[in-house]
Amino acid sequence: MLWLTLEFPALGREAVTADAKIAVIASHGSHRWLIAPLAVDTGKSLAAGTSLADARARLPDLLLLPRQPEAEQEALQALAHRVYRFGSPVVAETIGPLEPYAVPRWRVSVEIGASLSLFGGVEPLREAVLQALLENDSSARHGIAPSRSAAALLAFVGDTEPCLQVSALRHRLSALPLASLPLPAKLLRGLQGVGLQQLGALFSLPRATLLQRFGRPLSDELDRLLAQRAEPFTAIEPPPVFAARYELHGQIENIETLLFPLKRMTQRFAAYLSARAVTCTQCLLELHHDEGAATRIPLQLLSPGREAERWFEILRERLYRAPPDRAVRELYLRADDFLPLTGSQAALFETHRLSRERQAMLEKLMARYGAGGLWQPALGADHRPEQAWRAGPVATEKMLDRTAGASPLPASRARRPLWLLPQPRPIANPAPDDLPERIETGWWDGAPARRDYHRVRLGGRSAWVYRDLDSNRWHLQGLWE
Amino acid sequence: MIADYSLTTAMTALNASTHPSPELAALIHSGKLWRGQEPARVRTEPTGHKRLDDWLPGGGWPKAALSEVLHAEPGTGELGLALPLIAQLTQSGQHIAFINPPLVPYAPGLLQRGVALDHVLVVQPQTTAAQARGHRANDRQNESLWAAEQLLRAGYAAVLVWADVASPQALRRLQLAAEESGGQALLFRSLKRASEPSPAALRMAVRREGVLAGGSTQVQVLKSRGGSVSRAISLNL
Repeated sequence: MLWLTLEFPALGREAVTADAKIAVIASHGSHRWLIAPLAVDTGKSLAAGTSLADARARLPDLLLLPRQPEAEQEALQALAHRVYRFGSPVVAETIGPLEPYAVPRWRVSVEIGASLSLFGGVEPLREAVLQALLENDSSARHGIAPSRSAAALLAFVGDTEPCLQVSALRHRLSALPLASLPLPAKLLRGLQGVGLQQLGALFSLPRATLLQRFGRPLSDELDRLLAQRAEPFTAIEPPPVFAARYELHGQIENIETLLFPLKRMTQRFAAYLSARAVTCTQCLLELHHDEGAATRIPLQLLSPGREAERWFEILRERLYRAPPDRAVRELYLRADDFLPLTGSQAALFETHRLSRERQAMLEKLMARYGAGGLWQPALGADHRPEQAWRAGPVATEKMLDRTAGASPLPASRARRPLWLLPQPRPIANPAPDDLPERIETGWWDGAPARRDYHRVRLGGRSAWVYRDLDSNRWHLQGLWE
Repeated sequence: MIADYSLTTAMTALNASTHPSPELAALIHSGKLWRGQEPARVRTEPTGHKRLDDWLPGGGWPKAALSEVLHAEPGTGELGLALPLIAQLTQSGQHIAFINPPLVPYAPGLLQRGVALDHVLVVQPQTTAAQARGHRANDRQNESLWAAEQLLRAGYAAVLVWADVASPQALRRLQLAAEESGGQALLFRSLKRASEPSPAALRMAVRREGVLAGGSTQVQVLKSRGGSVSRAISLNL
């Protein structure tokens, strides 16, 4: 096996906020400490593991947020989805924290041994993975080694040189300091107390002695590092439906503040779609408030979409256009209706750049005015003028191609006006001087119409009016030009 | 001073010879510069009404520009004026949009007049609850102009916009969007706006005349780029 392990040193903070100057804090009893590096004004940063008291001494006005393990898990899952297409299995792990002031380690590992030939070797594969992660805002370190523990250790120390052979592991790891292993502080002090500083020293100790003095966990860890012991894992598979949740810090009314989590969620969504090799045309955004029912915002694309930007664009448009009327506490993004990804869709996008722009713009307008705000005039299969038309859905380029050449429904032979009133309006008796067109229909569906239509002058306009044969009343229904 | 100098040079060059320099010729050809004694070259699209085309300077709707049609109330003939253009554009596979129309553009009628319905989009900007709270009465009109701009820039060949209240800035933006995209913006407003300044390349007022059914539509040109016409003509739409 060959593992590529990605380590995300700042994930504990990135899952909660984009602001690197906010301290994300873990607590245990009275202990409180930073779980991610904290940016300090001068371009320096305080290391993860710094106690809150120390951090406060440096930065008295420090903003704090509690650690959110659930958000971390979700962010980690989304990152795992991103690498899903590079190999299998994919494993997402959070290690620790084992004790106060220890820093959790967030990792995603993908077994790449089987997909090396597909990508043309380690280097192109590594490039592709890093490229895929660029779209995300997470900072990552990576390592490549025959065992997951070793790959993680290389990632942790920032050694990107791949270690491809099991036999080379011992040599590669020997020079690494013991402190880079995720060991309990007491054990580490014990090891350092007997003069052991580097992994190499541990490897060369007789195993029986090591077992006796420092216990089985350490011995097992060394075996796993050297790929001599199986590393159990739970491979993650994308779930059949997509659901992302984001809890806001407090109640948010400002839309700008909602954009960061929305961007994150759409990135997760895109990663999910990519992991499952599917596309999607609709999703649902839910804004949860402290009180009352959630605001549900269904969103629709005109053609299947996978790109995070496209979803983000329409979400943003919609929120600016119709801001929630109450403060928002939580965000959910859901989708459960997926389409298989076909080669032709990708090709379609490549060749129709202009139509793609047009589509993106129409989606933006639809998000802005609601689905009812955009329509296409179409014929209705009925002789009653008010039902001889309908507001058809906006056609995509593909639909256009399909319907081109299809003959329209047989329309009335008699002339029809260009404008129709939304509702016929009663008018005073006009004096028509033309022959009527009689429309007598609808007796079967409870809205019967028996009318005589005329074209008359009405004020300065040429009007389409009818006399209801039952009530003998006149109505204005359309205007000719 | 420099501007004066170049203007003088340009005028000298124009006066000195009936064959202007290549630079000037290019300007004249592009329609950005014209000589007073001859009609301007305005790129146009025929209106489809033969008598109107013969009469309009340039021979039709100016291309890549904003045109205004002023009329008393919906259904006075303003749509009939634009209809041949819509039919011709949609028939040739181009897209057009009605934005904020005052009544329902009636599909059977449009089809009978040769409009390819699947190339027609209707946009009805809605005023949201949030904006209603903000008491901005002309929001929908501003929305309409904004949507028109977006559609032009996304490749729509023509947009028909109903926005009676329009700020000079919004109109200039629309004119610019038409210029840059090469599309046509047709703006429909009430006759009361005739006295307001407008960046439109062509402004026409339509009125119905005659009291009998089938009476004609009177068209008057209020402003046109590239020449002026003073009288009005009557059309049977």
